[in-house]
Amino acid sequence: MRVFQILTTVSYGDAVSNDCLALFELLKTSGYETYVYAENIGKQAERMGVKPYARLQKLRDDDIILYHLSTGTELNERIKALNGRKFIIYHNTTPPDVFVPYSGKLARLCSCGLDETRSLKGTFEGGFCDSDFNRQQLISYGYECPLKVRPILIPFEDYKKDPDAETLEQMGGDTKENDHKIKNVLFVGRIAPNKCQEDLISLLYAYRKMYSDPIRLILAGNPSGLEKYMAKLKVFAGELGLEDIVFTGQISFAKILAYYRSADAFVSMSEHEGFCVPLVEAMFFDVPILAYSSTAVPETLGGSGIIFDSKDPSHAARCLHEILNNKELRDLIISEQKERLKFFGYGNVSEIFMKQFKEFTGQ
Amino acid sequence: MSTAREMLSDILLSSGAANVDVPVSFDDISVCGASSADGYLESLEREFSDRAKVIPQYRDLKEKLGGALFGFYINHSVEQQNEINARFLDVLREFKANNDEIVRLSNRLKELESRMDDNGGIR
Repeated sequence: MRVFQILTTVSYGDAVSNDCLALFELLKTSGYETYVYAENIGKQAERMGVKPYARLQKLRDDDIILYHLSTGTELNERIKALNGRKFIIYHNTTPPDVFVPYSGKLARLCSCGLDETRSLKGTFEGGFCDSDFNRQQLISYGYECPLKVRPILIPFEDYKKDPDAETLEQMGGDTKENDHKIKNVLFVGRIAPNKCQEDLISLLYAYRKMYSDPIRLILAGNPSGLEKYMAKLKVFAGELGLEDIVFTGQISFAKILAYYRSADAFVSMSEHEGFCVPLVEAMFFDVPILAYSSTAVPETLGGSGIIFDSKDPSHAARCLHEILNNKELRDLIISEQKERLKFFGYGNVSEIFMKQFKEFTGQ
Repeated sequence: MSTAREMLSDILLSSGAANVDVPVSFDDISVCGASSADGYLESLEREFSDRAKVIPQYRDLKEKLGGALFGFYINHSVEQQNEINARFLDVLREFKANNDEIVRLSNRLKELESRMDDNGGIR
């Protein structure tokens, strides 16, 4: 039996690609003959052995196909015709409506992604879902095959690498060793309308009107393909007199590490997440989390962090002020997050995946 | 022992900070206005530059067979699209160059106007 992971893009750094590469290593070390094929391959992924889909070898009936689905792609149609036992790894697709004013291309891709996900309902023997939110979505699309929930596999060893020294210094140093004069409020995620970075800007405005302690908002994320949305965010910030927001653009992994290490709080206003890896990353770096309760966010937090149901900037500012200034509360949040992080540990998630994999395949 | 969420909830009951209204709504900002102010032309240029370089390719056996029989038409169509996108890219670049010139002249005009006195002479 051979195990093939197939997906549209493998580019080191994004959550789906990282999950795929981590599963590749796990399957290999578990003794399986395993391969990854993708339509688009980043240079680092190529070095790790990912092969172009165009060169996919002839598959046998007993081969296992793990198909990662997260967007619209011609692969969603082609996968139906492949030999082998097929299983979906579902990462969710962003609702297309949010992209309409900013990118016709992304709106079309996501719209196709949702239609294609529905059309694939009879294709798979079973499925792995990043969250129960994703699982419920597949069920609502008419999937009747067994669907199991397993968190994304995160290789935490990578997060122990050295952060970018210059960025760390600019942000006032590692939070664990420095009491920042200007507190850093961080959000990590693509600059995209479903992530609602405008609500973080409103929160910053409210905070500065309500409190005198200085804070800095850092929006770490790539705006590629959504430049219109990014431009609108900058105009919005300018109209509110908040020209000092840090828009990092696409940055190296070392810089992301520096922003996490120097963060005093992680705040999310996102309205659509199938899992939200940055929440787990914030847990890893002991950054207290404040998040709007939507889609898979409460499930990933699992009772840890602070969540709120209404997007009132003043309420969010009050919560943030306490998190930044009340040591007892802050320590309690971090301790609860540490407890939650254990569930996402590499060993635990590997075990969950392998157990489910063997139940599905019988091998 | 209470959880962090319970602890914060209790603290907020006695919090005195007044609510703040955000004076500008994000929805009221025009996408077009914002875009022209921040490199939208550059992103369009990148997009059409990518589109002009689409490589015709066959994907599976069925398409390979189709390509062997009708390949000329498939590739011809892709190449035509690339040609159209490349021409659009030329127009876009010309527009962008003129736009830069218009912005430069408008700024110069404003500068000269600010130096005019009430009788129309230069101060």
